[in-house]
Amino acid sequence: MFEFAFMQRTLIVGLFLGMSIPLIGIIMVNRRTSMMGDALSHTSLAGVALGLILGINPSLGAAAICIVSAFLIETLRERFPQYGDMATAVIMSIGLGAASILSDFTPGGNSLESYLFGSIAAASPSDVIVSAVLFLFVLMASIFFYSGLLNISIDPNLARIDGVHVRTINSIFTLLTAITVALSAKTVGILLVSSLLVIPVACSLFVARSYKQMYIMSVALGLGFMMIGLTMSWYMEIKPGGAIILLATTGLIISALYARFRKIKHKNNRMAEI
Amino acid sequence: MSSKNTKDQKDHLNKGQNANNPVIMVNNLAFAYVEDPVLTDINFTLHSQESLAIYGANGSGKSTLMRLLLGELSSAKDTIYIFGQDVTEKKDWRDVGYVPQMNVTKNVSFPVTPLEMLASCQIRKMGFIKMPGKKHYEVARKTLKRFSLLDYGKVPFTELSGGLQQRTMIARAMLAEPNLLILDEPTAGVDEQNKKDFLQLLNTLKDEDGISYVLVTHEKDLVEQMVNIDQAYEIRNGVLENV
Repeated sequence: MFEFAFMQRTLIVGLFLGMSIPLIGIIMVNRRTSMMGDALSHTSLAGVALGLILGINPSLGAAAICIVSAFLIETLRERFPQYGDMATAVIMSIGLGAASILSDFTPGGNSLESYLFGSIAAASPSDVIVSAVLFLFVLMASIFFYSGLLNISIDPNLARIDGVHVRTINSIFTLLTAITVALSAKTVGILLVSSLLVIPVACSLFVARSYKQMYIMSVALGLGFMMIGLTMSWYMEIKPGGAIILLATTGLIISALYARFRKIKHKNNRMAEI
Repeated sequence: MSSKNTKDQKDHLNKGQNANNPVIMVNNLAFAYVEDPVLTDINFTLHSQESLAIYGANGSGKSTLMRLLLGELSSAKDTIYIFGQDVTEKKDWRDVGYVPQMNVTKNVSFPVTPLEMLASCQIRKMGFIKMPGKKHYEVARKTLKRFSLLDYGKVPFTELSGGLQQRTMIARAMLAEPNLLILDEPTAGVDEQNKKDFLQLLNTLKDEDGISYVLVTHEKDLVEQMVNIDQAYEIRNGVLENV
């Protein structure tokens, strides 16, 4: 597998995205905005279609549409907090509507379809550079704003009083989320990228006993699911997105069972103490 | 619990605001989300080392008043002053500690420990990289010890009882050594014994630490029985009445 240049690129892109996606996912899950990833990945399809029609890099089109959609969702959520996830659903619907119309005009249906479920041969040399730069930005932002993000996740108002620049941090992560989702669509697939945002974090929520543990576990699991999934995709000749997500789902079931057994064991220990 | 009005705290009070200013001054405050007024002609003044309770049923306007006091909602200019500073212009809130409602803390669904919570809220004492270091954990440990929470420091917050969760939140608010504490329904959803312990803690903070506080609650009888309140008001349909 390593002798092929395209596979080397795919694995390198997978390495960076496998760590970037859970770092973004932690913020989304803790802020209870997981559906935003789903909405962005779906709207990115319109950007991909637009890119294919205009003959520009589809990932660039996806990133542009994702950034606009992400800030629209955040603005609507802020302005109409009483309507909860409605803004997310509205933007997703608009994105899908636009994508369905644009798909009729894309040159050849195959390219667009490869973005739905991901492609093992899709990573270009520029994708390697862009994913590496993205990873650096996501990692730096996660470290620089570690405490701010934790406090915003507890309560944004409480965070503001503690001196956190809530609006700035939210804007930075909205931008990074949009770019991460758009870039992941090529390898993982538009329909599956939101699962990779959520599942490694969900696994760590079952197992971790502290915020720091949750961070480390989410990144390690995201990376593990991505790299093993890509390897499975190569050897079993299956779509990478499907392989990654089914592997992650298996991990989620194992984590849930582990948490259940730990709870039972803890209960039995307490009974024995009494 | 020992008195801990540090030099820094006094310096801050003198530097940012005049120490003779009332802690909170609310003048002719009115507020409407759209057209119908939620609050009408609200007036009260809280002085240093005083306590003030605002009682009210659900929908009476007390949560709106709380959000206005904390600058979360925009009030008209010259209606709310905190330590002599108009709340609409207030950027630095280090002199104010806030204990949110239990339904806010119930939103914490991820495994954060009280130790991590208290270490990470010292944002102003962190450098360029906002990540807690050894000294922040040390301060957090000391504060947890002061509030008899050290044994629970490494237990996930979600696994603590309602009473311990609220005690963690008050420890978190007190860590910055504020001069004013604002508490929003802190005992809602907490069992009876823990409610009493929590309210007793407020007496200690006021008497020994010289903290001024505003307590917004619907549990009038329990507060009157347990807490030394200097001023008490009841809010009905957005109007504040003396109790």
